[in-house]
Amino acid sequence: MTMPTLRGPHRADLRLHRTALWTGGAVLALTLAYIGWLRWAAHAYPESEGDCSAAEPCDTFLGFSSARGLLYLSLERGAVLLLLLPLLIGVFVAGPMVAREMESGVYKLSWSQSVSPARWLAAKLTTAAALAVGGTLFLMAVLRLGGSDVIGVRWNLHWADRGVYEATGPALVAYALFAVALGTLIGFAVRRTLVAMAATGLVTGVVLWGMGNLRWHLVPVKTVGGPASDKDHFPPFRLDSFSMDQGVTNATGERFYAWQCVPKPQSGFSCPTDTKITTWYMDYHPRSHFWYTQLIETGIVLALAAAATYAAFRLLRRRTP
Amino acid sequence: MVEYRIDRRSGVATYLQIVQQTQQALRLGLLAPGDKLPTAREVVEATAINPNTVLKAYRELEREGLVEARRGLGTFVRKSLGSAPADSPLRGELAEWAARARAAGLEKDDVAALFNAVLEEQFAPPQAPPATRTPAASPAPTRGDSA
Amino acid sequence: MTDTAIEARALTKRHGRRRALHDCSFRLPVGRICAVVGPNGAGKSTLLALAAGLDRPTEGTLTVLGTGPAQARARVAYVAQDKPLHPRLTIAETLRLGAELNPGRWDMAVAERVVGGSGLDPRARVRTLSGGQRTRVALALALGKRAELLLLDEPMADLDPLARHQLMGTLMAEAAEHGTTVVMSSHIVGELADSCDHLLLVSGGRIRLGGGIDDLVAAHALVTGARPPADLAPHTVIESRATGRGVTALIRPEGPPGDGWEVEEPSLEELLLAHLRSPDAPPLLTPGTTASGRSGVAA
Repeated sequence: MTMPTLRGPHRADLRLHRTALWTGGAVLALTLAYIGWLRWAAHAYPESEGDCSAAEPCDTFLGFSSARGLLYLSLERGAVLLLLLPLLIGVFVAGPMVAREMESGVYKLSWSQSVSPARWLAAKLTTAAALAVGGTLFLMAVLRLGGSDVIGVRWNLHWADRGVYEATGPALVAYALFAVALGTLIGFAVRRTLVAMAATGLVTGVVLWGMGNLRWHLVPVKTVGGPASDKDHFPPFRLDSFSMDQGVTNATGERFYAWQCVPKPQSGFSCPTDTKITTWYMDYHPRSHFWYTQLIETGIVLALAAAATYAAFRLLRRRTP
Repeated sequence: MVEYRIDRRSGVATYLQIVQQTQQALRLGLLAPGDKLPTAREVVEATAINPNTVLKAYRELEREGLVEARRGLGTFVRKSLGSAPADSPLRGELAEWAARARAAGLEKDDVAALFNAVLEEQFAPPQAPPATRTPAASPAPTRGDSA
Repeated sequence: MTDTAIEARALTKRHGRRRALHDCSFRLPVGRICAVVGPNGAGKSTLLALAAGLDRPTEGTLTVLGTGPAQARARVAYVAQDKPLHPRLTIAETLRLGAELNPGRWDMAVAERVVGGSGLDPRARVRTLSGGQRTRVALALALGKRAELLLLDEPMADLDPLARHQLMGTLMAEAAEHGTTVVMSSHIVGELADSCDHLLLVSGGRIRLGGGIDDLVAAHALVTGARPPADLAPHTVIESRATGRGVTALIRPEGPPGDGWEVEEPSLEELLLAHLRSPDAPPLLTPGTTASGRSGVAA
């Protein structure tokens, strides 16, 4: 395996998609500039102290309550938008990178050079994977830069929130890789640009959504409880944990929800015969579960990516001599 | 350097056209002993005919002793076909004959047919190969440059 | 080194339920300029794509330059019928792509000469080119690769007569200089007759004729005579037609036809048309162009 032959198809892919490459680079740079500037502004223009009144209005920042407020809002929205990143990556790989070349017949040009179809496909996969991982890591770093002190802690930037959760661990990188592999497989299998883009976006979205629900069942929850009465049965508020279920039990330990059954059972809900509240309980994931779920989820998604890659190469082997 | 003109519709095999045009060039003194024939590459680049056709023609010319291939150098003219230079007495006689034919009221095609018939008679091969195509009323097989 | 450019043994290719090639066997010696002719949809493109390693035979084997099509990829250049190119690259970038994807083989001078022959601006984007100009760029890519075997699917279809003559000349010059084997498909035989010395007639997915053009023509005779067609019985009659009181027939003579028959050598065109009009005529491969019996490299 010599360097020039390895570089050939990679460089070709980069050159073919340089517009997208420049656009992506520009978006990354702008994002960094925007967040960096807000971070600086939050420092340079601190919130006014004390109460605000009509006579003495608070300082505002571009119409927002403060630069910090705008920074946090941007981080919240940005973290959720990061979930779109794998979709975007998958759709691009499936459509413009793979399916369009199959659909337009240009693959015949690629395959009749001195590079085997397998190398052609591998070059697409690795080029896209390297760029996807690089871009994802960059945006994750920007998110950290914007709120290293609040990410995972602040309300709306909670460690278990969709977006924040993925973007603060390896999971998002795994999703990016999965999107590349899936896009390659679907683009190659379907050979129709638009269909491949739609299918890849759909499947990536479904996997992201499904894994988002599944992840909290990968690790057993912890349960806390304490004495409770009909009047006072709410668990103490714990910001660093992620509550999965909370309610009350009766003397025999049967779980139920207080508002459904006390003082008398509401229609449409099932309640135990004995609805005398004795304890409260909460099933929750402590923050220490973050790394367990992250690593298990990353493992699952990477396995899916590997399966998609394998399927793509198998399909290629079946089609070519 | 000779330039070959290939006429696909002449009905004459392509390699034969090259042979005949070379002979014609030798007769007219356009080629003299020691001259180099164009390489096969040059001929096919200009005419888009098959390289083997050129090689076949050159082999035929070599077999007739007109040219010789020198390894790595090219194909060179060995001897000339100067039996009928443009101003020979034979040409004068032919010109006279043609003028008489014209005076007798013969059309150009009639003269050509007559000339060809005599030519066939005089230069008839021992036994004509059956598989050559004889296009009806075609003039001299080569389309030489002289009238 | 092998003396066989392409060898097919019982080659069959199905696209879904449609049979594009059926049980094709033939051998193409190295150094030939081969015309693959036949009507549209005969299987010519399928045959070339299989030899180029773009597709996989359903059954049978195909050997290219003594090895499998996939292994021969670096030594084979292929231009598909639709002349696919990256539309957003410039001509110069397309040629650089060829250099990068064919390390150690690429000859930029040849490629640039083919492109430059018509005064094309190397900075022009491929998508702005006409069909003929695209063909020129595609051929430049193929010739720049310095392949031992050139597979060209309908290479001249989009070209004007001048460009056709010029590019065919370039192609022949390359073949003359490097001994390149060239395989060109066309449904028009006329444009290839002067350039090619070998022929494969494909129709209905089958090889009908294969061999050197001179040999193929010599193996047939056009006979005319005022005699009953039954008199031609000892010969293989490809096609016969009543003409006046007699009959005109294209035959593969088994010995001299005998008295009373006027015998002519058919033109290549007559030969091909007669075979296309008579789909049941037995196929003919001239000696040296049949696939050998030994088991070859599996595709």
